[in-house]
Amino acid sequence: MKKAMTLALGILTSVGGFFDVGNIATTAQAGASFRFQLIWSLLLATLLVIFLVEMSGRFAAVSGKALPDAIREHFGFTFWLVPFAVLTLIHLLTLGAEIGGICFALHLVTGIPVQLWAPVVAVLTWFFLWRSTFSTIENSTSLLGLLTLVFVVAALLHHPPSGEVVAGMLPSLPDHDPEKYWFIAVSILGAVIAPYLFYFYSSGAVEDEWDPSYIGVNRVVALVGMGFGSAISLGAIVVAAMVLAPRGIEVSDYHQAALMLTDAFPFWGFVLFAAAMGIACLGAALEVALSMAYTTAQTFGWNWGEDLSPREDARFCLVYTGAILLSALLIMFGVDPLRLTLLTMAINAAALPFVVIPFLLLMNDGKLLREHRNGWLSNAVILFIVILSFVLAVVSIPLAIRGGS
Amino acid sequence: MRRGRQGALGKIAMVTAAVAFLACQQQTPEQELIRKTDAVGPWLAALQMAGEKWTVNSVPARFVRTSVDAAQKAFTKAARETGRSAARAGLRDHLGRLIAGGQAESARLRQAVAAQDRRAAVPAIRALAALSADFEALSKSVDEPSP
Amino acid sequence: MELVRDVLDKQLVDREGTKMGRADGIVLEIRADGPPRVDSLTLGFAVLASRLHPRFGDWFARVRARWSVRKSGRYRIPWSAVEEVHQHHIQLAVRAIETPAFDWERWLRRHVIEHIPGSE
Repeated sequence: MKKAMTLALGILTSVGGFFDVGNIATTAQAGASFRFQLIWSLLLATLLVIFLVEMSGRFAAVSGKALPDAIREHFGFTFWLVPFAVLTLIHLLTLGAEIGGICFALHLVTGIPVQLWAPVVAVLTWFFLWRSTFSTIENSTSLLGLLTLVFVVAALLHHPPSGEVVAGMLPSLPDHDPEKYWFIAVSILGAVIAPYLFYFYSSGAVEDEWDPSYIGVNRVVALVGMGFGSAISLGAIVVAAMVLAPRGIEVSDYHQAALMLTDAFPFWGFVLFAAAMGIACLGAALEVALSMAYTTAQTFGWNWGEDLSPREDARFCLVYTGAILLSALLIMFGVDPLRLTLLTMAINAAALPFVVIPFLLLMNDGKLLREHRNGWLSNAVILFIVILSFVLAVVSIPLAIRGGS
Repeated sequence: MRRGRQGALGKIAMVTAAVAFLACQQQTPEQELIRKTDAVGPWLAALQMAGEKWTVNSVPARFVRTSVDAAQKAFTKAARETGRSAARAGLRDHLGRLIAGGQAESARLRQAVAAQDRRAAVPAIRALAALSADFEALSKSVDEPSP
Repeated sequence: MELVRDVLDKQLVDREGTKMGRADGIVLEIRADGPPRVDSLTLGFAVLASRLHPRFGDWFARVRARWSVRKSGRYRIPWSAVEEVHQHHIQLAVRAIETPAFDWERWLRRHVIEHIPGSE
């Protein structure tokens, strides 16, 4: 019974938690500029994230350890320092992007400038973490996140040409703006395979006290949850392709993306977009801030856990408080939220080898995982996609910066 | 072993980046100008859509206002790039007129929306649509230069 | 038991189950009349810094001397306080809250956390 609950809740929260600021930005851009042509990068990314999340949950269930904890224990502090530094940077940038997303959603509804919202949003996010337990945060925000399914509904209402959608599932070369094409492809990879996601997932599994009997549940949650989650991103690409692309609206600012749902839902579309964006980003912001605190606390062996009261893990609380403050400052000082998001997603893709390879080494340790260690198939799939993302990122980031997009 | 593989990857990436970089260097000043002002067309189209949606009550007035404000920033930047460009005078003048038109029409739209005046908004929206089509034709003509 | 594999970097857990840091360093005693013996475990940022490079360690010690609330940069736990080395943690026979390992935690608790409503 408890397993069935975990299963249902796990799938719902993965679906609801899948879509965040990075997905909104990259899918809107992809659909608006290249219609269905970049769907392949979403599929490739989804495949990898299913493997990574499954591995991360399996690792936590078998060893009872979260990833940062286990990597330092196993490979030592000096080895862990580089992935740790990379993760810290990614956490701060991603948190900034998510806070920017919440601020923009509030800006849509109120008209008050994004920068002015940043301090309010920072306090709000912090207060959630200060007062709640892990399961309340995880479940409430992710269930509310199911609102992002409006993108799927809207996509169906538009009756997209199925032939073109299917054709987009295979990689093809662009007929215009190749720099932009590859940069968006990389950003989609980085948005879907966000490194914080699978590091966070293992800490969550430890918080939920998983044991090896959860391996089956974990496999289904990873496959179904992430699979359906990516349907939301697919929906967003389709909507942008049907609504924005024919009008020649490319997305260089969130205002342009905000028009996406108004064709499918003439009256509610605008509010739905703001609500979906605000909730998706809030859920993600909470997760990223927590993930940052988990990673730091585990690195130094401090007491950690969102179910303890702040008195019992003062340093853990200090980390998420500081992270929220720093990230909100980015938005307060006027960094453009969309640009921050796109850059962060591309950096995510470039960072993949640093955070995935230690994890992969651990997954192949027979002493630690016994019969649950990785098979050759998952190793091959992961290595292939990680190296591909890295090469694409290293090539396309400088081009995009030079192109000024 | 691992370091060796990463080193090789790094080299491949660097060579690819360098080749791509050189390929980009060969843009004409006209193409470069179009690339640097490529935000203008999408903004004209977005303001047109925002205006249309406002007239049928799909988006609130303040959304049109803040969209226009964001677009004005992009227009100003594009105008600066146009002034600085080494592209041929015909293109610069044409683009300059387009951007000035965008600035004027979006200001008109903003005013009409602030005054809740649908009748005044319609011509502004129509003008934005015309400018948007004009911009698209212009950037196409630069992409495929006539011999 | 292999020290680096089984002890170094492992989670330290106190008598009450509180996580109190990691085995950041190991101090060996070189004896004239026998093989070296483990004297103590050390923990603290200064230990970590000197593991990266001895110069970082010195630099960190200077910064720490000016700013830290902790009285000493390296806290030593005598090997005699180690109860058992488990697969994933080391059980110690001390109370974390009474040791310098919790200087920062105690300071934060007293000066910051307890002043914010809802910290219980």
